[in-house]
Amino acid sequence: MNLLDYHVLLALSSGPMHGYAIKDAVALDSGGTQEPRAGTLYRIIARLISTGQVRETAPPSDAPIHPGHTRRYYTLTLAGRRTLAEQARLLKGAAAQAERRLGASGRS
Amino acid sequence: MNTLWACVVRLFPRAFRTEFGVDVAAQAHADYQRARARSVPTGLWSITTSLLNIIAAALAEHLRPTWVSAPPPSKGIGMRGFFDVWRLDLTYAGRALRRSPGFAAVTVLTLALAMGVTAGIFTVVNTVLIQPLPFANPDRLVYIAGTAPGSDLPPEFGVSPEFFLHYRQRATLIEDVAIFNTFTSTLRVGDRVERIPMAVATSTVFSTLGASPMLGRLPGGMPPRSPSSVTPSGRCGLRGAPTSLGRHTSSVTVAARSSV
Repeated sequence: MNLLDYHVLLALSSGPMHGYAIKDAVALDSGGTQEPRAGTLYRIIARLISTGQVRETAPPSDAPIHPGHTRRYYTLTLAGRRTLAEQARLLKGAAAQAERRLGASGRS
Repeated sequence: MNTLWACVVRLFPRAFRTEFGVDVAAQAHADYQRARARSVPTGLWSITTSLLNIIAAALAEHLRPTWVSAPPPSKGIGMRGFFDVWRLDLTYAGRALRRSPGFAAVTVLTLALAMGVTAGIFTVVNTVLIQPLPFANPDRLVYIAGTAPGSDLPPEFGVSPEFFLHYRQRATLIEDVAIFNTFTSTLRVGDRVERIPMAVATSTVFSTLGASPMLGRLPGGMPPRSPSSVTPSGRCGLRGAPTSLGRHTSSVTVAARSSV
């Protein structure tokens, strides 16, 4: 799983979202370092749906009506939540390891 | 602008395009509108990057698909269902045949005739073309015949003994040569008379065909000046072959019992 996949799962962990909202959430969560364009984002969504981590869902009742075409909303599956938790644990461990090493090298 | 996105989205494989094409185009267009609101150069930059991104993503989707068409819904016919369908078909066929016995009789006779003809043709083809000749090296056997176009002779005729001697002495590509002639004759053994197919052959016919006797010895090993010998085949009507070995019948001697 690459970083963008992780950020898409992270964005959807806050609730059902349509594609453009996912993109904005990814950009916000990553501090602007990740801002997927349309082709990249929907390939990630397609992959996550194919692997059973994301599924399409009905729009929330308070979703605004978008002119032009009907927006499709996506949400995490249980498998997606587990994958996100596992990835978060791995990233947390890797970050802690980096801090330990950087702290050790900073003291020396 | 929407036309541009609709065209470039067509680069995606059909399965992906059907599922996500509209969304990709809508998001690319939304990106452009948001960038255009800031400035024209930003809008142009957005178009360029979105175009390149969609082209690259379409290429990647062709090489490593993330989305394939859903398989057609299963009809739920497993092995058991398969046999159930067969049983229903056979039951229906049986009822239909009982309703019209005349048609059923003609059908059965037609099928029987067709199967008999097919089996007969296959037997002939299998014997003549598929099964090898019952000799040691059937792929090395050749049949030599003579032809004389423009003469009164038949299109194909047997070669004379001179040719046999010529081939035997001078041919370097032929290991062995035999010459024979076939006819039908009457065999009388005691009070028993049978019409039997016979062949007059040189003694080399057995070594040429790679045949060995089931009983006795080959005629080629007989001492000179001995009477002409006969070698009954395995299909010959001479029963009790061991007792017939060495027996003189008219002017010939039963020398061996061949497998050919």
